[in-house]
Amino acid sequence: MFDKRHHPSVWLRSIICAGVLLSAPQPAEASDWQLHGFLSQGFTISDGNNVNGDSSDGGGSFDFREAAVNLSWRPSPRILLAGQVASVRRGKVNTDDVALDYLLADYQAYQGNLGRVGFRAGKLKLPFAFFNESRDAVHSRPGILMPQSIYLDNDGARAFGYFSGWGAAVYGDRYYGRHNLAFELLGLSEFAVEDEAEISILRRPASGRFKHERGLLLRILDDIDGGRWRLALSISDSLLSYSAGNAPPFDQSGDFVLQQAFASVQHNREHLSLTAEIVRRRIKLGDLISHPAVSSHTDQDSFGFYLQALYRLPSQSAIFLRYDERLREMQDRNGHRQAAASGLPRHYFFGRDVTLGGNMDLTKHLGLWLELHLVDGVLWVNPLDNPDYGNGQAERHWSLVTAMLSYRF
Amino acid sequence: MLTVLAVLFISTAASGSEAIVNVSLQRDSVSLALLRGVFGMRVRLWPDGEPVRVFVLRDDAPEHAEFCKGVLRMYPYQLRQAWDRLVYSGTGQPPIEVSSLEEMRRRVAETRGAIGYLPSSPDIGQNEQIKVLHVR
Repeated sequence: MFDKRHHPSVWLRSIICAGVLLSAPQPAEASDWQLHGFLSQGFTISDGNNVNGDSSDGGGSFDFREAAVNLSWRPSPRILLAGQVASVRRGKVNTDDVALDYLLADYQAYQGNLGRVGFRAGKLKLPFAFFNESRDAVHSRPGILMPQSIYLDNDGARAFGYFSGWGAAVYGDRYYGRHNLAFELLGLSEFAVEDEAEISILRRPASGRFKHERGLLLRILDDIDGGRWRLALSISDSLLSYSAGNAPPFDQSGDFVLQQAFASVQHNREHLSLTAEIVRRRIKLGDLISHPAVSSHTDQDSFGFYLQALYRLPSQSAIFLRYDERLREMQDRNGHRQAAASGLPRHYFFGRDVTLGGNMDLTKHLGLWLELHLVDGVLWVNPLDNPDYGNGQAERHWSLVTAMLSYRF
Repeated sequence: MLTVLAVLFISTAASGSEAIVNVSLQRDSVSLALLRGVFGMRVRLWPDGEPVRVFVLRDDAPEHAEFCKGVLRMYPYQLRQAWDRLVYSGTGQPPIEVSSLEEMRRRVAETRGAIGYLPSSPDIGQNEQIKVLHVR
């Protein structure tokens, strides 16, 4: 029987595979092939709520591991083929399964003195805000735990397809004096999301299944003076579908829209980097609920931002201070209205995190990261690692210390 | 005193850095924006069609910092972040790392489309296979 659900992705994947096989195998230098990867082990100990495993039971948790290997090949100067597989374990949120992270063909169609244009297709990393496409490796993201406001780090973002998706993109650069203006426009096709996706979207386990139907993502980035100032605007619009199970409140099958807009700014000096990013997300879930009384879980207009100051010390080390705030409802900053509507404590509707962190390169390949988080609110506490979350028992004021050792090559 | 002055003079004279390219490249000069694109690994072929091959020293080599700051007007960590973004998104490859200035000179000389850098010196042009690429 013809299965409509997998149709475009299967086509796309076939085209990519054919492209890989048909690329003329010209004589290549050894440098045309590159193999890179990393293996990171985290440790988390917390007070109040669990993060990345049973971190609050006294002994801490080692249930946070990340590993990835990627291979890239330039069969000709204009073409790049690349793929990465990753395995991530984060408490009960991500299992150790090895999954395809990206697999793509990239063709640089034009390169002139004033800019370039190219195309890529396959399973692509999603380039929004400053760090989403490079968030897998701890050394290319802002800390062990990313700012939860923008990157939905602790609540199933990977399962939700927030990291990468099947599609095609056009990208380009244009040089204007001191500016390097870059854009990427991605069209995303159908792809299934994993079982844990409901945590990102619904903030609770649900019996239904989600699927990404289609999406569009645009990022415009301005690097001024070689990146002394960096400015980015990203917008995305995704249509998702939900096949309802029979457990309330999300008992109706249907489609819903997730719209996101991000603004990012960074200032880089020799020792100091200042970064700020904000996001606004709109999600309409009302069609998934048959019971009219459950109003607090329908349409959301959420907001988040963070500010981070990083200072580089001698001998390849750095310290940073960050304030991160995520609100489930932009117009209800302290959660009073949502608490009254849902019966949950108001601290379930915000998360404010003050982070002090640092890192040091022990060798060229080995690095150590350490962070202290002081958190007010439990908006991004994961229900899978915290069985009492759903009944309102999560502690409002809590803290965690996390460390990570990472080897890269 | 004279020794101190002499050392100061020599160290001043030895500072500065130049982009060098394989002689196969048609051009003798480049805009700073394009050069940043080349070392940022966003440019895969020169506008005349030659494939770009970038050679660098280790991030913590003084000559690397000198080139980044003096010529690109950037910091080594900014290039490293840009390369990491490419590697972990599958949209590019980092440059080829060489272990010495001698290896830099040799690899750029023997590779078509190659670009690297060397400390400023009248000796750069003695190798007929490499030439200085001036920044406009």
